[in-house]
Amino acid sequence: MTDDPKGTTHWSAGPLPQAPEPEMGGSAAGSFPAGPAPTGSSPSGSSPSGSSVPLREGFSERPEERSQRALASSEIARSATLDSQVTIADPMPGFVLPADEARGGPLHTLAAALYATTRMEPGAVAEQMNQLGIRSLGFVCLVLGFVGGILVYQAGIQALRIVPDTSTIGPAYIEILVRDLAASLTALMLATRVGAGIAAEIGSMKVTDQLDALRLSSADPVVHLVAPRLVASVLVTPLLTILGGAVALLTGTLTGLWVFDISLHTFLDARYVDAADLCAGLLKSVAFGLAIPVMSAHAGLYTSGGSQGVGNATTRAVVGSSLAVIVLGFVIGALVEVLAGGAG
Amino acid sequence: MIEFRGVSKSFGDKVILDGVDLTAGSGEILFVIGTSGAGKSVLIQHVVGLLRPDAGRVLVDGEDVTDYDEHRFYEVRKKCALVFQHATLFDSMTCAENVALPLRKHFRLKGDEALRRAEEFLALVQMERFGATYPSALGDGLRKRVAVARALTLSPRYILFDEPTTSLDPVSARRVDALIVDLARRQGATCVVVSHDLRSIFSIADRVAMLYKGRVRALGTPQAIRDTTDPIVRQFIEGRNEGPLETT
Repeated sequence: MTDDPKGTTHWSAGPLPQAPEPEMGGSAAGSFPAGPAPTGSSPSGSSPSGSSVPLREGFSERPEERSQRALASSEIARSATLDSQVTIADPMPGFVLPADEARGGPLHTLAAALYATTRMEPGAVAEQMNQLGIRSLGFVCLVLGFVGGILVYQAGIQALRIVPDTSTIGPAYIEILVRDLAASLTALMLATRVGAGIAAEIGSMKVTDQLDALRLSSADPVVHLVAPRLVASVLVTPLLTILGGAVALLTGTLTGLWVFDISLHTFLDARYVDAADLCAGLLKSVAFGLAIPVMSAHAGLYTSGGSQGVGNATTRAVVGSSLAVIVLGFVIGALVEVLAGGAG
Repeated sequence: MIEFRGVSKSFGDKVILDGVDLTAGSGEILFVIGTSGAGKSVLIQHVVGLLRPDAGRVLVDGEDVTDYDEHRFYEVRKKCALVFQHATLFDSMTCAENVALPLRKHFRLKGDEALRRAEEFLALVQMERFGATYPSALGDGLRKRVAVARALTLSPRYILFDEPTTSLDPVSARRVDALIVDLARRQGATCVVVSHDLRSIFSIADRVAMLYKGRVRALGTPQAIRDTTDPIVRQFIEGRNEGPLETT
């Protein structure tokens, strides 16, 4: 510990660099004036009011502890002191206040997260891409593979009942896969796996005060927890959609070949797929990639009530993400249909 | 100096604070005591902006911080550190990484440099051997020491402790007491301690404030509190089941 001439007390572990100017303006860019000298630190331990302090029992220090502590303190004090005129480096956006009554909706969280993407730490997105993307790959491929095979099997049975012709099953299947199925199914799977994970993790941190601890450490929970997941999800959802779609196409093709004897040339015919289908599929996967982390993080940020609250938040995240996928899928599909129809 | 002037706070219909007037003087150890649910933790969370009062003002160093937004509380949180009841270390980080976080965020120290500084702050609380340990491997007492080290990184003039000895064994509790005394006496920090650990209260407090029904029921030196004739305060410090004290 050292005392500077102004009386400011320091127990810094050495000099710290002057922080750069904040990324945001406003009052947060202030500096800390040296404060008044602390009082009441006399060796006698007298209180500020001057009254004597009763016997302080139970905290006698062993000599080795005392010398160890003194050594640590002296080594720290030997280096230069903390500059008390530190400019705030990285003020928080202040959009989301999960601890208090300021409760916003998912759009509020989306706005905060989008703003926070400009202030993420390097490497944060890559870590989340691994968590959200790589670890979901097997699950997504497995589900889409089975669903693809089942769909082609059912379509073939129905087609044979009505018109004994299976030649259009492949082209129709590819169209629906590109336009909607791959994106929607992938997103619904991510809503369950990723959405639940995000809500449970952030919700647990909320109920154990870790979000408040982040805020007190000057680490914005939205910047650290939500924004990297948002960016990672937007990047990996289209990739997972493509990979999952490819697996669904493979299993569908094999089902057509083995069950209905549809040749590869006949089945793998993309004549029904046009630019509107590709646009719809791509737009949907990006929108779903945005919606899932926002709905889930929002549920987590506003968790309350202990472990039951975390359970409720997880449920809200999965239900909200799934509904968002369904509704967004409908809206984007209809929009692309209208625009493509108008263009045609 | 931290001042609460007529601070009121309700959650729904439940009134927690009902016009609290209290001042924590520079360099003192002020204990805020009271039954569970009396609003002790709620009170100190107002200082760092984790809660906002429904009415009344909160002043830090004479500066009214009541209506500060998240931006402006950034400054206040550098002066006032809060050590939570359950330490609230981040499970995914080692102890050193936990302590390094405020250094990285406030001072933009690079990873290795921040970790080196963090080890030095851990040494201040005799935890330098546990820098590479994850919090889940530590007991409550050691976790609280790490939390204190994290709080010290920003060189706060005020340190708010929320039930620092709750759930600790007696030896660990006394060590935390010693740490608080060290911070106040040697480092000159003002320590506001929320607690109902009577041994701590009567061992290390300079002043004691008892919250009851949303207000300050008693305020004085430990000896004055011990000598009071107020039946509610007496029942609390004597830990008697029978008496006029109502618990929520």
